[in-house]
Amino acid sequence: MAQIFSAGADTSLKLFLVGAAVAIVAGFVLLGGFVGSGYRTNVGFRPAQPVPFSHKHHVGGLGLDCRYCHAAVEVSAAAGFPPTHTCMTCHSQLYTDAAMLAPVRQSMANNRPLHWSRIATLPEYVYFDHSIHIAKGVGCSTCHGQIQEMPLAYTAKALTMGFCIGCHRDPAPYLRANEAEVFDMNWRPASDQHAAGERRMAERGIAGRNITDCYTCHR
Amino acid sequence: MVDTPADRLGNLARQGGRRFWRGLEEWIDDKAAQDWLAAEFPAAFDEGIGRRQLLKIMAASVAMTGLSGCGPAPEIPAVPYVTQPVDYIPGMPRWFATAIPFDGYAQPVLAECHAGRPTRLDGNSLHPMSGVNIAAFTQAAVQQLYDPERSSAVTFRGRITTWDVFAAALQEERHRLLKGGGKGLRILTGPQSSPTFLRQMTALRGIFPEMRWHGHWSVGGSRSEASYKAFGRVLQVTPRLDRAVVAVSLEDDILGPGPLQISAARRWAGQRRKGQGFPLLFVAESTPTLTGAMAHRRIATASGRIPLLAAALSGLRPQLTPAEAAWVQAVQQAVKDNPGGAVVSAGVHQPADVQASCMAQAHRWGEPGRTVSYSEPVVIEPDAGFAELVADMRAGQVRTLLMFDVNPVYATSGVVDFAGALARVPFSAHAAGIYDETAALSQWHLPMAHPLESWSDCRAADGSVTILQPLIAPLRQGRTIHQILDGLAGQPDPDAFTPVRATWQSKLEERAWRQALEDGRAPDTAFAEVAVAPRPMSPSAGAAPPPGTEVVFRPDPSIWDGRFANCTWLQELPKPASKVVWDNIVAVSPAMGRKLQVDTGQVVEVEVEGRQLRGPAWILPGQAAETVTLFFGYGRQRGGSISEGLGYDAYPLLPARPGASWAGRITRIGENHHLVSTQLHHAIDGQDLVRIVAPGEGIDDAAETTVGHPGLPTLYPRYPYPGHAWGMVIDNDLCIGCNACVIACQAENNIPSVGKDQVAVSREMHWLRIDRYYEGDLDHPYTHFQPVPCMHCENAPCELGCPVNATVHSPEGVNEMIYNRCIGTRTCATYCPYKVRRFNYYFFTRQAAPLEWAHRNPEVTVRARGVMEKCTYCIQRIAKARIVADREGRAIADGAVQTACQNACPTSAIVFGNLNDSQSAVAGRRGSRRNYGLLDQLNTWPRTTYLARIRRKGAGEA
Repeated sequence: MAQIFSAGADTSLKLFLVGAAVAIVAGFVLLGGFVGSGYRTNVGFRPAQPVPFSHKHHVGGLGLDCRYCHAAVEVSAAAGFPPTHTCMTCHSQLYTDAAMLAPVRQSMANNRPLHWSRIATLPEYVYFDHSIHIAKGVGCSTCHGQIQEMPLAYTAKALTMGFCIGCHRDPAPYLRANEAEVFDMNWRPASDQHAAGERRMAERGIAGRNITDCYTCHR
Repeated sequence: MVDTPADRLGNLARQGGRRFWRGLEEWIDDKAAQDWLAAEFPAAFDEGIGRRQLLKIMAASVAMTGLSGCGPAPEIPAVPYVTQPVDYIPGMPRWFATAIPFDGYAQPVLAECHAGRPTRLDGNSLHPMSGVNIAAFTQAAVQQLYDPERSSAVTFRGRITTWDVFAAALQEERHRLLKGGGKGLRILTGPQSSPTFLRQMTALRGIFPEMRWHGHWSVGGSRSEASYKAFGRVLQVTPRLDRAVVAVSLEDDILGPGPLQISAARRWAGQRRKGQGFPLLFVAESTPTLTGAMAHRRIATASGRIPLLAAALSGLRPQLTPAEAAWVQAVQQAVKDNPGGAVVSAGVHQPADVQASCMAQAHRWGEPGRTVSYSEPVVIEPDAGFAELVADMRAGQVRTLLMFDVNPVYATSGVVDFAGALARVPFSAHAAGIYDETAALSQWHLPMAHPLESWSDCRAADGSVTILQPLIAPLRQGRTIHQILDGLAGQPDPDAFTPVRATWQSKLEERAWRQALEDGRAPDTAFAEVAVAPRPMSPSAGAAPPPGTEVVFRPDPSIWDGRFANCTWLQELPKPASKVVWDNIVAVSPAMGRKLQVDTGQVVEVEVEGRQLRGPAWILPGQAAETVTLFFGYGRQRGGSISEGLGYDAYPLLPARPGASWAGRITRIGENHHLVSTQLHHAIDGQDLVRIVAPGEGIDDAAETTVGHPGLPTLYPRYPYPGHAWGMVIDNDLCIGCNACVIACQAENNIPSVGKDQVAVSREMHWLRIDRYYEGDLDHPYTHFQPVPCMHCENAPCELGCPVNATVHSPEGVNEMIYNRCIGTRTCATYCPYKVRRFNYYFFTRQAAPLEWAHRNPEVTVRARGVMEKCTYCIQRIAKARIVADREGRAIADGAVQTACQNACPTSAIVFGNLNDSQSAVAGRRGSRRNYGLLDQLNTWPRTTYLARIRRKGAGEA
């Protein structure tokens, strides 16, 4: 009776099993890499804008407050984008004929709004509210990164559910002392941050509340 | 058990076993219906797809989902204003006060506007006629605004042209008319109360002295003749149900749909909320109405016999049946027991004599100004009626006819050949929001601006004026009636604002004008009450109608005269009595069903004056034995693809002469019509769903231990709710079944309409339904309405069923539904004893036209296919209130969170709030002795509870 299995069959089977195991592990590693990658989370997403507005120049250099343009951030869910009028408060006097600013002037002249591209987006079923985060002492840079160093703004942090819920589970490391700190783009936690943060949680009515409940963000 | 239709009809005669029943099927223990109810998935039905096909589609969808899941987030544009309006905050809605006119009466509204898009309407809280409440029809105005089939262009003989071409033609016509002093110029409108319209008509009469304005009533009519007969002047006669203790309705659907519903229901509730079961409503009617459902004592009698009852109430002795005599005696006793506190009113379709005698009677019964109030009429009397116009058109005396927001080709008696008469008019123009039957036969059709796109003005029920302001530029290049009339007066390029501002130039200086716009009510414009004395009248005894079948006509409770026929919200709104959707019915009594051997759904032929129509019969408990009721609004030829081809058209059968009822014949045709009714959908299996107590009485304490208290034993620990504990209490005693809450919920929560076929298999998506129960015998049942949202059980069965934790409990006791977790097993729905969960079998929301996306509420997720959804207690409103309160470091005040259904409800039957706050309104109601939970024996600890209905002794059927 002829041999059913050749001499190398054992080796082939072992190779196959090892290969399969490697493939499965590699699959999970790749999947993990993909899920965390900028490709999926949008980190580093830097779309072209109608005007190459530089936060580095305006915020880092000139020291404009965030709220000069994103005026609704303390009272509304949306921070708001500046109307063309806001740009023109300065640029009707400064760089009035810069080619770079032509779209702004045209927008004003023709009463046609500018179309900016958003760099911080959330899925439709997530209802984020800027105002309450500001009121409780979560600073801009916590989610938006070092905007004041960006010549052209890009997505600095992965705004995933894991990112949100990490803070909602333990807000203390992120709670800043006061309004000035909230809008300070260079804020760094102090050495006693955790103790101070827990004190702030108690003061601001965050302690003892379940802010990881689904309906906090989803409706 | 019943199997065949013949058995069914035979069994109608027997005494039903249940005290409360939902429909005939339960009355007669229909086996098929019970099997259907008992099925695990009554909604599972044959989609016409085989197993192999299904697997292929599934494989393909999995592959596609995989592909579409990859890829970077799309670029989402942000488009700020060029110059931002001063009071606009990005991300926040703005609210504007305006009004939606309905048959000449302003329905005051506050319109919610997101980034320039009106998305939803609330009642105007500053307006005494509405408060924050709003009727279903009024809310549907938003859907009409975004109707993709609204008329979008001027047409001349069916061809698209422009406003400029029309303006030129109108100027030419104007010059021709000027020569004859306006001879041959006619204007046709529906009921009007706009001061600007009145001013323009006065100005036009100066230019064209021979011009005449005709009024067209598609349903109902004016009470001016009756009030003139009774008091010698035309008056607005308002029954004050808030002050009356005894209210008698002779087929007057005071609480039913119509332009005065909200103000009347608010008044009724004002009295009813005192908890004494007043006002005692005595109702005599042929067709069940909402007023009849609220009656203390109701009698089903032929519409043609109402004059006899009116005569009996005014002291004459007409020939009455024993039942009628007993009813009259009960009324007279109640009036005697409550001197000065009674009011009586007759339906607007009843003869003017009958209405007038009721008005005079009400004046005698009530103390002056207490139970009935009189004021100047809100609706302006036109120069002449519709019949005169048609006669003149036939006689060739009409040269120019301008029609505004009327559809006489459809909504007119079949005897009156308006279409034929219209063909004889050399210049006819029809302005309306939709290209309807009249538009197709007129030379010119002009797209009319929607009220939310218009400058105009209109009087509310109390006579006060609301200035209508536009919330959005006309989407369909529509213009207002005032613009077109200004064009007729010779303005070369009329704009919408000038004519309205001109009317108020002298009365409201700039500040006052702006204040009037902001408040939604111009100051000092309400009509003062006037004191009147009735003229001596010799009451007529009235002649008994000939025996035999009578036919009566009613506006459809959801579609009215057909003007709302292209609204899916309203088409899919179950009609209060029959719960039928997407169709109109021929209502017949159980006795007539037996006599004719006609079952529900079988086609019958109805004949009046030799004209016939065919429609599906509906055996309606409480219908008068010999009365056949036809409903208007369906059988549309034109008017949008939603409206066309549904139901039958009752107008051709309507006789031309005014009247309340006509002798007719009804015969059985036998074929079946596929009628869809939701009355057995989502049926709850249990006892004591509806409870009734006497005034001051509580629900038996022993039975009431499981709601809100530690009650039946359980293995689960009670979860503490230290913060807020949201809850809702619905007072069944106040619910009139008007459906306002259902539409409010639909508008607030982006709930799709699903169409007749889907409703047929129980797939309607309404988060809030109104269960209707009959009580007692088949011919004279009591009717109970019970709104059923999610109960938000503290011990929720649904939460145990979900394999992926997509439905969980919040720390404040809200039963949460997390769409992005849901994988669509539907286990929760089968576990829910209240049947409040709804599943997206299709991607209903994606099928909507892009224009319809605009009226979605941005605060609520738009659900995709394959996810479960249900009432969330308007969690978006809770979240918003919490954020605002939290930002300011204070607690959420009682009343700061109002659910959409609660806002809309004109009787405040629904109260929502924090149960932990002992001072809150909801906790107060929860503490009432009338409070009970649905199916509380299941130990679900529902957060939504009910208050039992109050019934005074002596209630009974005549």
